[in-house]
Amino acid sequence: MPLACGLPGAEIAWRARFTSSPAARFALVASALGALPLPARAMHLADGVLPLRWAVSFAAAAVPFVAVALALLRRRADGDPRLKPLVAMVAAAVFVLSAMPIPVPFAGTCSHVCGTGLAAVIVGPWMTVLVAVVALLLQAVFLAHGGLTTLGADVLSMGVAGAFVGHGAFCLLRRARAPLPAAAFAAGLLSDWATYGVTSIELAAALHGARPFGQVAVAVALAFVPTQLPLGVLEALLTAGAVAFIARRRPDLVSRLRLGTPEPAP
Amino acid sequence: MALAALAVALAAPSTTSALVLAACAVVAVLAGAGRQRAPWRALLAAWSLGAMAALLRALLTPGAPLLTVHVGGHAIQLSRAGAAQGGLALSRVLAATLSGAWLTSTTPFPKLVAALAWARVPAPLLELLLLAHRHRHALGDSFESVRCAQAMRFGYVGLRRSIASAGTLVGAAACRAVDQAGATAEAMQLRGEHGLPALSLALSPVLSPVLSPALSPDFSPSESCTEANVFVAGCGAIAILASAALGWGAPW
Repeated sequence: MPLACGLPGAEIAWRARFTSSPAARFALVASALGALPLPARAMHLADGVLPLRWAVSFAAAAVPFVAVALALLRRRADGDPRLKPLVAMVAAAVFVLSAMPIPVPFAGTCSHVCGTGLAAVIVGPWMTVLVAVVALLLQAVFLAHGGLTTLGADVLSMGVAGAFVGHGAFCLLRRARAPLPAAAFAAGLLSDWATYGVTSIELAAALHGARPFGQVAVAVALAFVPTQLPLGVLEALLTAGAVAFIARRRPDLVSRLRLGTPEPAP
Repeated sequence: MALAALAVALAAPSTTSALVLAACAVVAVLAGAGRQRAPWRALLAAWSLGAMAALLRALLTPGAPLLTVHVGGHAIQLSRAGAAQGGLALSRVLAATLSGAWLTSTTPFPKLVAALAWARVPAPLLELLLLAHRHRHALGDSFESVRCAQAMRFGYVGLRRSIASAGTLVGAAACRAVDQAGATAEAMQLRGEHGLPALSLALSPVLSPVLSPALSPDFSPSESCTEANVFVAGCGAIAILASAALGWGAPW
């Protein structure tokens, strides 16, 4: 026997048919998310959000990328002893940036930048995979942000999708002779949105149950829009500002880091 | 113990067992880390995402109707099975995040790295982890001092100035990271560093202050049997046993 609900003002009815409107579910999920007076730190999945088999699956999917990145690191570090410390320092910088709360306009909440776009511009996409592993692990341990069991899923979204999309956009625009800040803007914007897109897909894959996967993925992605659309633009502006600052104040770093030069194939 | 609790939390068969595990993890966190050091604020953020995931799970599970609410012309229906699934998902998030907090708030970082080394995590990855851990405070302090200086000069008044200041701040942090990497690489070369290929056999001079307490051959299990550690371990054992026992006889 169904229970009665005493919510004031809400029209309650008992219906036999199950309403499958994705817009209705989106409205509820988005409003629930928006109503929570908490920092919107949804880009890293917390422990327990993914069922065990999905957590293991995503970790297994992330392992090949980490293995290739480690092999590349070993090979390149022989010729360039500064590479390992550079990757570690960029990871530490991403960790520090992730502790900086940013008020998200129009959403009434706070979030933080991913830093993946900037990392991909500085050290390339493969090394950014390692940057993401280290930064996410430090975040999980010291900030209780993200999770240990969801590390694989978070590395896939932030370290793989965010890094490769951001770096790809940056290189394409540089080849098209776009100015450095414009290319960095695109890298920051697209890496952030790619991270959220893949996080939505991961959540939908793990939670869709009997419903169509695509419908759930769209609903989750739409639920992220109120915070992530402005946050992506903010991250893009910060990435562009950072690269412009480096180019203006430290032009030696632009040539030393080979900003905009495509990374050698693994 | 906390790792086992984390694994049990993810596979918890019922809401009751997950909640029992979560309650025991709270006790263990309070006993091991204390009320001040426990990361409650960060956990709240994780629980908000967990609540969203549980809500999704609840609404997407079809079954016999339990409740229908009309919002903006759309009927949103919650099924009996959906409510059960949503409750289970939320309790798993609570148990898993609290178990994770138990692990991280009661285990020193070098011991976590030693555990990763024991689990055959590749040495270069551990080396990156230790280097980043060592330098995060220095980078954080530098970042904070630049941010304070900007704030003192009205760098965060108005949206345009705030964005420009934040971009400069991130750029300065990136420059600092690159410079620090160069200095660290030179220092490592001067000390004859060659990474961590034989972590358990011989620790490098740079890393030994960090790792030696955890990997020391003089490490005595009896010394770690302090009252607090025994209490935390006892909480963990009770949590895991109670969770397993409740899970077998749970209604759903």
